[in-house]
Amino acid sequence: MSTPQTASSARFAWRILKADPITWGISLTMWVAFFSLPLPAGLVLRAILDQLPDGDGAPLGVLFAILLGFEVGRWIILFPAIVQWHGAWVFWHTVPRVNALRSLVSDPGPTTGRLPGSSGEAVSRFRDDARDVAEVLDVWLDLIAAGITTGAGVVVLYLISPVAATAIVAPILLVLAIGHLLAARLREWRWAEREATAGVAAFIGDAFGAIATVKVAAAEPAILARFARLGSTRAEAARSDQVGTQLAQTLGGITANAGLGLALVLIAPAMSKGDLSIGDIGLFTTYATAVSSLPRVTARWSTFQRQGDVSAARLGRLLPDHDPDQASAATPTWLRGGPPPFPTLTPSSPATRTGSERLAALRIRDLRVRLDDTDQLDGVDLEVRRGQFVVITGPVGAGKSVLLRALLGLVPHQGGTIWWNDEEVVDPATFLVPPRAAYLPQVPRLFSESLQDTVLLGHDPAGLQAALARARLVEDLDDMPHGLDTTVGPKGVRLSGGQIQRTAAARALVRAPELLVVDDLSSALDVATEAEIWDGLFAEDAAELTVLAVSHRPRVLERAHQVIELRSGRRAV
Amino acid sequence: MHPPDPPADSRLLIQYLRPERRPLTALLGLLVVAMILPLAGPLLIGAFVDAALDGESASQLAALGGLFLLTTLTGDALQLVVTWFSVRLAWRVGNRLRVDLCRHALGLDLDWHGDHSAGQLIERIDGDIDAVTRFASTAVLQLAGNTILVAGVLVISAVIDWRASILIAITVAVAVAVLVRMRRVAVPFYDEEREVQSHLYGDLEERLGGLEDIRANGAGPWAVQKLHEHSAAWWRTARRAAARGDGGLTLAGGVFAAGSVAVLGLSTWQCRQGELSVGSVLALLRFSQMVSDPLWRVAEQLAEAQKAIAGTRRAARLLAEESALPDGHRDDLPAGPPSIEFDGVSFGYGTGTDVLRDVSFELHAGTALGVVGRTGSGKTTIGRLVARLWDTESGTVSVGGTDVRDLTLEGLRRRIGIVTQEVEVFRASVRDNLTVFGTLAGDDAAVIGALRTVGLGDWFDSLDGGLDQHLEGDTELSAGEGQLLAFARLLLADPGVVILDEASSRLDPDTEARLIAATDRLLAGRTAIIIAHRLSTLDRVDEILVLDHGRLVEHGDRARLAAEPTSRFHHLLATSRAAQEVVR
Repeated sequence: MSTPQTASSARFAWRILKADPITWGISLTMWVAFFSLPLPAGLVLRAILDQLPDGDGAPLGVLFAILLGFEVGRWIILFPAIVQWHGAWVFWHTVPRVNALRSLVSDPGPTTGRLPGSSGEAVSRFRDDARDVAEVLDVWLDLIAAGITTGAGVVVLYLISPVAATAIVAPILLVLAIGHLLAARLREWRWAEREATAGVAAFIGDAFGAIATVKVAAAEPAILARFARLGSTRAEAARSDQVGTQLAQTLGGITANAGLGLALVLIAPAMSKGDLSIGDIGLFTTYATAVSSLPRVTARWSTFQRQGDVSAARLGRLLPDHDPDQASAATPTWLRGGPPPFPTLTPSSPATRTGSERLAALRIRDLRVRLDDTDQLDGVDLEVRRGQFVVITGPVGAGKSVLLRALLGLVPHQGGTIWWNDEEVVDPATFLVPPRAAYLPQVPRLFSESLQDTVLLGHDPAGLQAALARARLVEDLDDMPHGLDTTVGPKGVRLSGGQIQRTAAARALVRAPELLVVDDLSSALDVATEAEIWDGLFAEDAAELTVLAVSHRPRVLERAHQVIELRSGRRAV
Repeated sequence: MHPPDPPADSRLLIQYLRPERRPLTALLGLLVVAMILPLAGPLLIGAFVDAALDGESASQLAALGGLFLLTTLTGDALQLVVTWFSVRLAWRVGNRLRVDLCRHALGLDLDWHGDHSAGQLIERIDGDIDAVTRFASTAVLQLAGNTILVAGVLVISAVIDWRASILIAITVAVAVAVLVRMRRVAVPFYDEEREVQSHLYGDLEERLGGLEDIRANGAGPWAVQKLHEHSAAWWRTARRAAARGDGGLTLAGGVFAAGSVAVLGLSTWQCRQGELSVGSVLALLRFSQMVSDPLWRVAEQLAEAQKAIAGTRRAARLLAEESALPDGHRDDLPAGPPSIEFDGVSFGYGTGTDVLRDVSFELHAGTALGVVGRTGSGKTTIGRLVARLWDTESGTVSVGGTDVRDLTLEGLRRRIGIVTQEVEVFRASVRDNLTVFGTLAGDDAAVIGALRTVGLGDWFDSLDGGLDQHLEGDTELSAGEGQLLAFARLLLADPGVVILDEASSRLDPDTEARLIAATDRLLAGRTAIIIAHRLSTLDRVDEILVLDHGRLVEHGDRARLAAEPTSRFHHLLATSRAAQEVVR
């Protein structure tokens, strides 16, 4: 297990706050009003109680009306405050999510090492860690509102009785000190709980992601047993975490009555001498409660802030250089009314492409890739000229897929250079994308949306029919009652292996790339269908399409202008 | 809007809480004491004030103050003990429910799983139950504790002055009525919010899983757009739910506030009349505030309860889902390889288009069948129906002479081994990956033997942790190696029926050739169905079956069909050979 790593959640939260200070400011104003209204109400109460048992003729009716106004008014304020707060709550979650996702899908550089292993665990980053950071912003509202209320309350108390003020403040300070001592332990518990929870989510994700394998192996009982075991480990961690948090909060809650009790003991002499009035006692009882929210909020604050430190670091790890600042940067969220209509990318037609968009030749020199402490590629040279069909072949584990993925910037390369025409490609991840390159992976992932959407993924639908035809999908579509509107199940479960591969082919082709990168198209297709796809690829615009592919099929090798055989990360001689 | 079926979800919770009756009773006992202690507080404050007015000594007053301090601290300490026990209880109950949900979801058919992503299931099995667990641990006790507190307040204030007590009771009744009414209104809106969140996380899970596809095809903005759309939907539903759910809380808060002012007014008037002491006025005010003070806690817990109810409802709904494949009852497949028979089988994945149309054939025990046909001709479906991953729409699939629907799913599938083109590696140890978390029997020697047999020996030797080495999904394994791993699983499983569905499609020809030699041993004495694009893989099968658009167009002895110049298989062989001979 790795050691806990933290980043400043205060800085993280502050940057999100700055992104939309008005939303937060409105919440704060209403929160302060809600917290502090008991203070003037307490003064009115004092005036009322001082009329007991015998009044001096003060207008009790008016006093009661004012008291009622303060007491009920604070709840009237709370209603818009809560609705508005929920919007803010969503906003605080959304900023780091949008930043992280946008960076993962489109920032320069490979994303290796940024996402945790399983997508289930990755979701926990977006869900739980974003929530922890939002909690920080929320607890700040409470903290400031409680701080103002406590400050003002203590001043009033002090003016009435310095002894009572001291008695009420003393437990607050004591509890703050104890909370400080608890801090390290709470942090450890929190970390353990979070890791265990991520483990449970990852396991569910894995088991149900591979549900067909699980079923075929009749492994349901074993999966269940493992799930139960992970669950009890997590329960243990969660118990410590929750009880610890409760302990901190109880300590905070004790202060109101402890302070009041202490004050009653200490003011006994003044009371028996008649230096303090009944109204003063009434005021102490309300103020002890009003000012006591500070330690409780402080306990919550230090807990959340610490949890937030862990989460801020984890969110930061989703971004390049593991930089939390990028995760918390201001970004439009379009929460009210949704995002503007998606600007479909108008593709440049291959015929009209010029300059850096147009491929003349792609060259790779001495490409070296090291993954997990193993040399995957050990200095590979390669040249692909416009219109060529270049095929990489070789035994399992020779580094064929790695070569393609390194070229596309999906994994980092430790040495070597890539040239696009005469231009050195500094960041392949952002350079070798449509319209320059498109990718058909060995195990394509489709998404749960309509077939049209999962092919286009936001691309202009203009070339869709042609791409479907070239990917030999038209016949399959005719068989589907809803055609292009057919919803593809998660990971395209409702499509056959061949259909998934061809859908992914259409997805790459609709982008009309200069260079098409294909990783073993054949694995899910029969000879005839595969041949048809290759025919489709080369039939139209044959001169415009350049293909770099991995394949073992003799028939494919036969078509190639150039065959490159890899063995153990090098070109075979 | 009215919740469709309120009793169902509460019944589910009660069912899970029933085994915990004893600890719950003990907890309640502790809670009663913890909640009654603070009731002494207002009385002591009242006594303090009256004593001061009566001119009692400072030490007398200090003693009352000290007593106040003692009761309140003891009450708090007891609360902590209650938390300790309730959290333990909650995790027991929550985990029991999680395991049952997981078991149930595992038992559902693949059609259902096709509609529910793994991300959604994480939310259903884990996320939702979080709210339920928190409800069971904190909310139930808070609600019970605060009920005790309110009852205590009413009784004690009645002793001081019955009119004030009635006023407090009315306040509580009105506030609770408001809360309950608003809760009803709010539940569907909380449901809606959770649903939107589950879509949001489901979508994120898929996009993160397909990150490379997105990046390399420049589809980043699309993924971000989807996140924006889901987030905006969450914003809308969250505010809508808050206006209903929390709106009720603020209304109730106003009722409590007004009630306590009314109590103060009433008792002030009585005090002026000389019917109440000043201390009693203060005590009654404290009591009226005591029912409003825990309101916040009840309120917070009610929000939790609303989430928990929504979560429980979804849990109940999941548990009510029935698999489209009711389990059979017979577990008496004879030992040895069984025969396989399709009789008039049609099937279409519920899309309205038949993938298989009226397919009938018989495969004798111990023979190997090669299935060929174009992509989408229904080859894969044959294997899936034998393993009963789906049920036929019409016709019968029999294994060992028994309709697969009559056999227990576990009994059937334990006898069948499938390797597909999907490579699914678990984030778990090598051993767990091979034995599928201990499903397949096999000591370490057998596991390592299987790895070596399929040609993963060198790979295995390169691992630092041996069989305990944790695999991080697909990262340590190439797609081809992943497929070899699946073969090793098959060797360990030692099934009577072997189904290879494009099982070697991700392998290069050299590796494939070595693997085929290994599978020879595997096929011996077993019934086998081999689905392949590469006809070279079919050199060793006994029979050939050709499918075209879901119809069986040819079935017969391999050698005979190969020799028959008019057969489709002969034609396919010729095409394929022409393609193969170019390089080799």
